[in-house]
Amino acid sequence: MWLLTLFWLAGQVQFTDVASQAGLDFQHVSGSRDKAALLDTMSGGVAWIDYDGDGNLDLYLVNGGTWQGQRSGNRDLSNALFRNQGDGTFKNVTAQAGVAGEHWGMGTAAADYDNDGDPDLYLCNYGPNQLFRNNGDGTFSDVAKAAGVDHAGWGSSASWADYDGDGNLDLYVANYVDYDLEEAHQRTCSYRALKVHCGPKGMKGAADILYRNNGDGTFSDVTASSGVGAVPPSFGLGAIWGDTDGDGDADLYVANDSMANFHFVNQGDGTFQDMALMKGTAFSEDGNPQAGMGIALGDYDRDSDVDLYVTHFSDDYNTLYRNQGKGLYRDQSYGSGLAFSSRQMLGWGTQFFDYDNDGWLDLFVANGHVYPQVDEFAIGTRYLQPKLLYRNTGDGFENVTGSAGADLLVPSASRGAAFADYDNDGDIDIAVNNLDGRPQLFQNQGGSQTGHWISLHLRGSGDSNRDAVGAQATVHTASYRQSQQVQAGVSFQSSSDLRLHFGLGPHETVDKLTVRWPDGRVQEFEDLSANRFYHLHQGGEIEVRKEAEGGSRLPGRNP
Amino acid sequence: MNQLRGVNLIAVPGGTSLVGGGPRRKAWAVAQHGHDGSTQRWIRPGSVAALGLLIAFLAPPPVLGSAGMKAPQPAGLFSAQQQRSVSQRGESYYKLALEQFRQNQFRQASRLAQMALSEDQENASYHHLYGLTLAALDQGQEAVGHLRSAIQLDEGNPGLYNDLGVVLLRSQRPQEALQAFTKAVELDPDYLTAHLYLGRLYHNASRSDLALEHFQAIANRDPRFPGVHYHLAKVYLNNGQPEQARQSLRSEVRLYPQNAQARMELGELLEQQGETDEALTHLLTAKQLQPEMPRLHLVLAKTYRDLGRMEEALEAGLEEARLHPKDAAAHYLLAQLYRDLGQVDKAAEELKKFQQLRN
Repeated sequence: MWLLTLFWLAGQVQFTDVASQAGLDFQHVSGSRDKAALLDTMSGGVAWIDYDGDGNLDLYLVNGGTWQGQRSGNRDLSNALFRNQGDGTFKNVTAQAGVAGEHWGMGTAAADYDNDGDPDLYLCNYGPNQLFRNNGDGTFSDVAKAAGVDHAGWGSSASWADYDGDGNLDLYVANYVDYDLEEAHQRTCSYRALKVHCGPKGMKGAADILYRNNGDGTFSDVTASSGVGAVPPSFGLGAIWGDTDGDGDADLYVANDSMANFHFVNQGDGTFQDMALMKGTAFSEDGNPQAGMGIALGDYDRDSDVDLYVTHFSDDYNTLYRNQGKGLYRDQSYGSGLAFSSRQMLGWGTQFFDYDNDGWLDLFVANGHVYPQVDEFAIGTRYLQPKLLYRNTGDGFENVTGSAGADLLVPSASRGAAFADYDNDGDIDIAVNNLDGRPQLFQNQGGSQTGHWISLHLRGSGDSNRDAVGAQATVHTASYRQSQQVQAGVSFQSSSDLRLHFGLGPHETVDKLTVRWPDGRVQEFEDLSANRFYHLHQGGEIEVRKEAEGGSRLPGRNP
Repeated sequence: MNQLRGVNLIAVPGGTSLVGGGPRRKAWAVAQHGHDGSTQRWIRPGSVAALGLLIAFLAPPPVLGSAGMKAPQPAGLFSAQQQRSVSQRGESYYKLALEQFRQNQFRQASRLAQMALSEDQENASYHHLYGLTLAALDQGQEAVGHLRSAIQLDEGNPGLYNDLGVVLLRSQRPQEALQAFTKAVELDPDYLTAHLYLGRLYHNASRSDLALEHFQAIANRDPRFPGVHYHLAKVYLNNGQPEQARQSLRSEVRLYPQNAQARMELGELLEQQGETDEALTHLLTAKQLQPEMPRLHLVLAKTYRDLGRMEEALEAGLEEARLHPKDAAAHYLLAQLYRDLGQVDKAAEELKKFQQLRN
């Protein structure tokens, strides 16, 4: 205990990039090196998915495309699925699994949409989107066309939730720009007197799509009838579901580039209303549209409602919208200490997560500019940028990037970021997909020693979807309580571990755990020991698994 | 044109000492318009650079507000006089033109300057003054032509480049203005007004690196140069360096306690950093100094909100909207304040105004 306290106080968590030794041999490619077109700059996502059900999270990395491939119709690149072998290494199983992808890839979201017990993958493309149905034998089949979700446009991000409470996961797809690659290549624009690619300003926004899951393997486009189509086509980049007003159903937040964001409130009757303006989540503090990219959703201040964080372009700040209660938000970016440090960064993937297990949700941002030309002059921002790691002090955020591992400072043109305890050692690790680069796998070293934790794997039944997406777990310890919701399709173009991970700080026991399942039923559990992985089956008992089952452990790192 | 009418002429440094005086290295202050205090300009005596006072009426630095719309000061024109015999008649016309110019009688000044020029086409000072009178009469294209002629005749004179830059800026030709100011500081690295212009141009073009270079050049040479710490702070803020910005703003406020704009910026920065009590002090002082300054009441409203003084926040927000009805941000903030106070109808009303303004 004293050792734990010592580590906890010292905050000695380090993130080390182990991608190379883990065997993540992947090269992302996206168009021209000088980023002559907007399309060249936006890919790609990353997803944690235990596709083979062995208890180890596997990694799916989305690749971009080339102009030649685009013109010829033969994509000369491949996405990659890496199987976690449980010993700290990964094996490329893309070909066997059949998830290479046929088009210029963007975002991905993993969830068990057909409730058959294994996770499936949705892939957003520039071109027809794909839905890889998990066959349960290590392979996938693209069923997008048959399912009716093969929209061809520029899909950016996707997110799953059961918005109508019928037990089937529905799908929202954020589309970016109504885009013609050939036309776009003919134009150049000016940014800080630099000649750069154009867009999205001056281009036509693309309408997003809401698909309702019919429960028979097909989906219906309910964009218009649900009300989410009542907004003008915009430059959608990020999308996330969550119960933002605490009424038990799934609301939807969409980050738009250079335009007002959408905050669709679920009316409980299968329809939505965009309330972003009144909620205070459409614009910055001064009412300015920002270049919304990635989104984090979580209760960072432990007041039992969910807050939002949105990443933006350089020369602007990333915005923290604090939920003041009743679903009304206020821009708290400056007051929380998050604004200034993000101004020179161009942010993408992000998530609230408790990296040091102290019971407060911290924050990570993957950064990278869209214009390589910014390196021509010392204008205060760079093309390749370091990450940002903020520690939640309970009274705001502290930028700890410089002290949490040199690898976080390695500059990259990062895009998607996904979060998971992939090595099952009791702390959250981060996978980052880098534009035109190799991925980074930031292994959390020390997080499980600086605080106690529990991990919850929720399995829905009855009227709840199998992945329990939308469920809310509230953990009560002697001194505080914290809540998290299961989310599928988060960050920017990415998908994280569906398990809920709670840092407990010095608490060795969870006094009470309350789970509100997607169908509204509530279960309570008491006296749970810390440092365990728990499987919770709706309506059933809680199954305890010791830590690090099947995971790769660094010797001596686990408490 | 009208904005040039009724403008006070300020101290003309040195009177006859200007005649024939070449550019000097030291900057000095010319008090304008009773600012304080307030507006001061650092110009160089005995130099065509004195015309840098054009700054005041062509593009007043925001830190100094818009109160100081001043006439161009031709005090240094004689400095461009070349070592050559001059026609008596030309000189007489020139002196008369100069006098008229100082009295804001630009048409007469222009006619007399033209007459001087007709006596001697090779006189840089005549071209210069004529160019400036044309600029004052909104004939920018012709003005630029004569300023360029003056430069051809006296190409080592940084003040001519500076004034050309000012006229080019006024003619919406920032790229050429940039070249002119650059040439001015090449010829005279101590030419602080030209540095100021360059810094502002680069800052507006988001070239914070170069903006910083020029503002620092001023601060290094003359740490009391009005506004320089304010401008440095703006660059630091843009660079995400709030601590440096705060330090610079504190310097500016210490040197020029009456600088309301700097007070407001400092107040806003402190509010953002959570130091609301001190923020409020600066904002209230700024309010006393310049109660109608844009954004001031908006920032005040935010500060009151931070302090939980919602009624005062609302009052300040309403004042911002009253003073600057086209300020969308004021209506956005008002909407949030009303919303938080539970006055949903009023919030919706303000959002409607906000959207109308945004569209």
